[in-house]
Amino acid sequence: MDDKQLIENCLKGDVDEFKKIVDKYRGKTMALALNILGNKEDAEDACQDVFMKVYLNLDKFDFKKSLNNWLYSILYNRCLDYLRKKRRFYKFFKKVKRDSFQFVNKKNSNSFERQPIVQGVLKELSHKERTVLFLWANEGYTSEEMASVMKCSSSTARVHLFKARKKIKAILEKENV
Amino acid sequence: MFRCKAINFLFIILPLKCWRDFLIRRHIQECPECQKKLAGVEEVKPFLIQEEEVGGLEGLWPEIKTKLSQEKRKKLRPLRPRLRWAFRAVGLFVAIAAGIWLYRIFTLDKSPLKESLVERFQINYIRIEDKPARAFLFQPHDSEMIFVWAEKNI
Repeated sequence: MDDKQLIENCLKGDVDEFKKIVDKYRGKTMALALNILGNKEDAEDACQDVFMKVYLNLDKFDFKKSLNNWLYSILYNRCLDYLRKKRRFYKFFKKVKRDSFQFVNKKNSNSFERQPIVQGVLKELSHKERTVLFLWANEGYTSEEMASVMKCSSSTARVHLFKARKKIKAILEKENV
Repeated sequence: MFRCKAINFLFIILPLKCWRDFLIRRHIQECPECQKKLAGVEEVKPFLIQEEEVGGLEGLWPEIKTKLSQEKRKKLRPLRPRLRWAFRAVGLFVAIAAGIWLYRIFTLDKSPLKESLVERFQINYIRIEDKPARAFLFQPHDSEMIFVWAEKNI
């Protein structure tokens, strides 16, 4: 069954039909979220939020566009929200740590800092660069498609991709030497 | 080779992304030397987390379903209590606005300036071009400004 049919069934009020969409896209969305956010808990939360948002706004879906693109676009924005929140949280956490180090030390500090998955090379890239790299390498997206996901111009997407590819090549060359 | 280096230098110093993109489209995309300095798809893929590597997503649907049913219940919640609160809020706002308006009217009407205008200003005699002239005092409504108007006796 194609996406169009699935969405039409969901719009008729069949929630279980939405499971098929979730099953079809959960791997892809989770992979992108993991690449952007770098930790599993946040990525899972982001994916949940995205599927919720998609279900609640299915009536606004433009059938001329692809569901995959729409999902990625919502997911990218959600991940940006998470990163912003995280930045604010870490700022606050740093302040708390500085002001009352002993208090924080008594608590389990692991609950504040989640274990990152994205290590090494990807760490060197910005979240925008990681996103374009994922869309380009895994999905074979063109710069226009990447731009529509990230809500930026295609030139910006191309520049991000170029920088990301260059950085990775430089790191690979360094490792080989 | 020199051209590639110059373009790469330009890429670094150019401040706008559209200018950088121009360089990518006009040279970097076409130039085999520049392409050698960029990682290819196969080189990039090992660094990215792939769909196949992502596991343990079986719990995603039950959680979404629970949230969706909660959302549905929220939507189905009767409108009346919400409307009641909305009316209360609007009523309170109107009462506050009316109170402020009435307060302003009463306080401005009892302005001491208006009452004491004659007491505060007294013009005994005024001359224009060595001839006696007429003088008027005028205070606009709701204002603390006082105009003194003098005109020739014709």
